Amino acid sequence: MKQLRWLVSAGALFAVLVAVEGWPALRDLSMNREWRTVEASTNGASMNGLRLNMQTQVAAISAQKPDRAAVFVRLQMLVTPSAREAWKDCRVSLRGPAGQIWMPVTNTSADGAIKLLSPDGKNHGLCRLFSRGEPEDTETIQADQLFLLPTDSMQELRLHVSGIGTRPHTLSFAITPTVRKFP
Amino acid sequence: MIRARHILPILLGACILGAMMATTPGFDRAFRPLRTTAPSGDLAQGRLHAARFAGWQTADNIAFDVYGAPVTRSTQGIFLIVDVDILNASESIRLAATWQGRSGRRYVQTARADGAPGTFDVRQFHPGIDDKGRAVFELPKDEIEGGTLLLARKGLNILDSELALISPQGMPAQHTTQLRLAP
Repeated sequence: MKQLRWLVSAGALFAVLVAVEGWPALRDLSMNREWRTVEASTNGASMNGLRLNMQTQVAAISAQKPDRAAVFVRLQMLVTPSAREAWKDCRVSLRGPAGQIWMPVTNTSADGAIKLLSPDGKNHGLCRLFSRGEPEDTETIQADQLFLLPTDSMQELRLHVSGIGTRPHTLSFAITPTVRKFP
Repeated sequence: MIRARHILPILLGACILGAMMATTPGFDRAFRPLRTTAPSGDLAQGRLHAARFAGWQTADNIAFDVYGAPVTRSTQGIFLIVDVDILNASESIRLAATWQGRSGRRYVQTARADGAPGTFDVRQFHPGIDDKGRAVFELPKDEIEGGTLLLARKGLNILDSELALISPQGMPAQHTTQLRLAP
């Protein structure tokens, strides 16, 4: 009986140790992964005080490289101080049905392509919750992303938007970009 | 006899603890990347992408254009230029290449070739788009033969994949006095 009590105590201590050591690791992992998707309407959606909607979604296909498409997405966000506090930052990615993850193109060539595809000819930069100037109480911020993907992967695409403060939850928009062909 | 019964478990425990302490791997060893090795020309498959050693050449000087301005670099050693096929990416990634010479020394890509066309510092690889990357190293001539190209995700690499692409036998067949790096 005494031995059994020792064994139970040792088992309980081991479980506590695993929980204490594992909890921060699991929390770190969940802050990086998007395990829980929240379906969002293309007209707009809110999460943790941040209101988002997709303004533009265009896929550019060049005749020189018809096997790949540059997908341009412009987001508009209504940012409040509480949303900044809750989200902390902003990450946008495109997800394919087979689990592919496309991140925005960040090299210098993206700037010209974004300016070419955006309706106002401007590049507002990647998704961020703080404006370049002094942050106002509530402001509308636009974010421009360009993704490079194969033309045959343009079906069943989802746009994920999340922040450190929202993950593992992420907003998930279904996207069907308008195709523009270039010579 | 009774004293021995008490001392023996303590001694045994001390020995086991000592053995465990002596064989505990260091942080670098415990969290080092998980390496996949492939002979020259074969495909090495990692967690997020696959890669193949496509070709190599050496040069005394390299020349390239950065933002339209011509740049020429010379070296007291030798420039080693390695071309790699990047395939099966499941997530948009940036890669870092390291050359491990026969002596075991590791050489990172020379920052003096940053901005050269096709080099890993300016490249981003996307799912569904098979692509090529180039690494430029500056190293002693005797570190080329028998060397290995190590490819890993850019940034901190803990327990993620590292592809080791073994170079072909001998020295690169092509040596140029002044090599122009073109896209």
